[in-house]
Amino acid sequence: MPQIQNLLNREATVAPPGFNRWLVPPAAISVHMCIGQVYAFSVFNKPLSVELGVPVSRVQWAWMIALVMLGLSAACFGKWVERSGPRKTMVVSSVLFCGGLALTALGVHLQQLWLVLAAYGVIGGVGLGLGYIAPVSTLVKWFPDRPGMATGLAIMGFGGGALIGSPLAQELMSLFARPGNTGAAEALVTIAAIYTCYMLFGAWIVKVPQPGWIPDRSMQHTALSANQPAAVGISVDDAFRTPQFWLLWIVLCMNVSAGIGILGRAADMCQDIFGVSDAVAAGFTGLLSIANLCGRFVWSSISDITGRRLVYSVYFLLGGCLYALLPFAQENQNRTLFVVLTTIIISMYGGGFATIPAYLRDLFGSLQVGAIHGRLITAWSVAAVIGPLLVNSLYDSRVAAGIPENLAYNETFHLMCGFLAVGFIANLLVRPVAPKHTSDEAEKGKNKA
Amino acid sequence: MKATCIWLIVLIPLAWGVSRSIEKSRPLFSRTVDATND
Repeated sequence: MPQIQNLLNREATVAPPGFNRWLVPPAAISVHMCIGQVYAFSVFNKPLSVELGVPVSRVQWAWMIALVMLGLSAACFGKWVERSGPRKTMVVSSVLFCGGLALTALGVHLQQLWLVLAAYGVIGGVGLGLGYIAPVSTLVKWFPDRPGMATGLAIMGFGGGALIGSPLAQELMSLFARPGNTGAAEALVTIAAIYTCYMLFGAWIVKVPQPGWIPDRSMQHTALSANQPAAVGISVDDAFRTPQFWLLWIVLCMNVSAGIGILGRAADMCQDIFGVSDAVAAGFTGLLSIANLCGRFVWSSISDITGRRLVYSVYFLLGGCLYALLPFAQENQNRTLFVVLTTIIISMYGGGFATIPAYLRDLFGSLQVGAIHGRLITAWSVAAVIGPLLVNSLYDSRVAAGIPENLAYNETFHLMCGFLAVGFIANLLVRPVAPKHTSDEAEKGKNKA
Repeated sequence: MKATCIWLIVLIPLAWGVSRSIEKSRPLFSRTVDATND
């Protein structure tokens, strides 16, 4: 047992001299790819509703609780993640997330909704939060010259998790389905087993750089000075007290809320506005998922060249303009324009997620960037719950007011423009962190590193 | 060699997911589907 503990400790994961840092992104992707399954949970909505004998809306609580727990656990355990290192965190994340999936299957088998909510929502949600921040923090330390690209790779894996999770679950359920059994429980157990292997694989190959490591000149893609953090390294508690942290919290919250406006209702929107078939509407959501995936890598890589503040200004300004153009595409029944506009909007939504850890590193340094990122993720939880509620209630109120369904989305698009305008202003207000915030704790950490 | 294998292990499932999504989005660009639904 002590041997296993030693193997999981941060010290055991320190890379030997000459280690190829390009072996670290696959570790991050393998974990994010698995926990990204949360985006594909909706595929279980109907089967679980049938198995448990409850409405779909009650099953969806599991997903919502998981996202709330993601934010809470990332915020609460951020410091522990920094102390324990990525390997231990990834293993714990794997046990919780995959254990949560297996317990969900048990809940389905026993027809106990409370067990499903506790297993997937609470236990799995905590695993999600830990798994989300650990690899990102590690990558930021390995790629000080290209933090945007590095975190973009990991968070692209999270987006990819939805693309894998949904068809995988469908294939498995159709494989295990029997008369009177949707095959959901068996599919969940199988997914838990596959994901455990992948997450442990990530934990096995992950490495942290040696203290004080910087990439040598031949490895650097851009000059370190171009994106070098202004701060020497600020502790999570000090960062939490700066206006910059809260401005970025608003930036992330607004970016997520605006993206969810389209993502959450993509298929319905396409059908209501253009009267297309189910297959075409599903195709639209498929295309948006790919845009979300690619945007995470492309936009965050661009941010390494342009700087984080400028790229977020583009997300908000261009995003707002594109949202303002959507009613025009709807009025003219121009489906191609609608698809192009929404694809770009969703790519920037993904980009916003992927660029935020690099933005945090620029402002607060990489000392406790994982823990700071963890606290910032509460913005995502808030947006994921409040965003769809706002969008759906606005749409429903317009329809109730007698506005045709195809026109009722225009108000939603205007609301999204408002979200993006708030995010734009918050981003403009971000300034470098004053040196007074560099605490003793941070200095100690720096000396230790 | 080791790096290639490690990257392949994570990229293969990602590529599978992307290919499934591309397949799913095909009706969006299909003229036949357009004609029957519009």
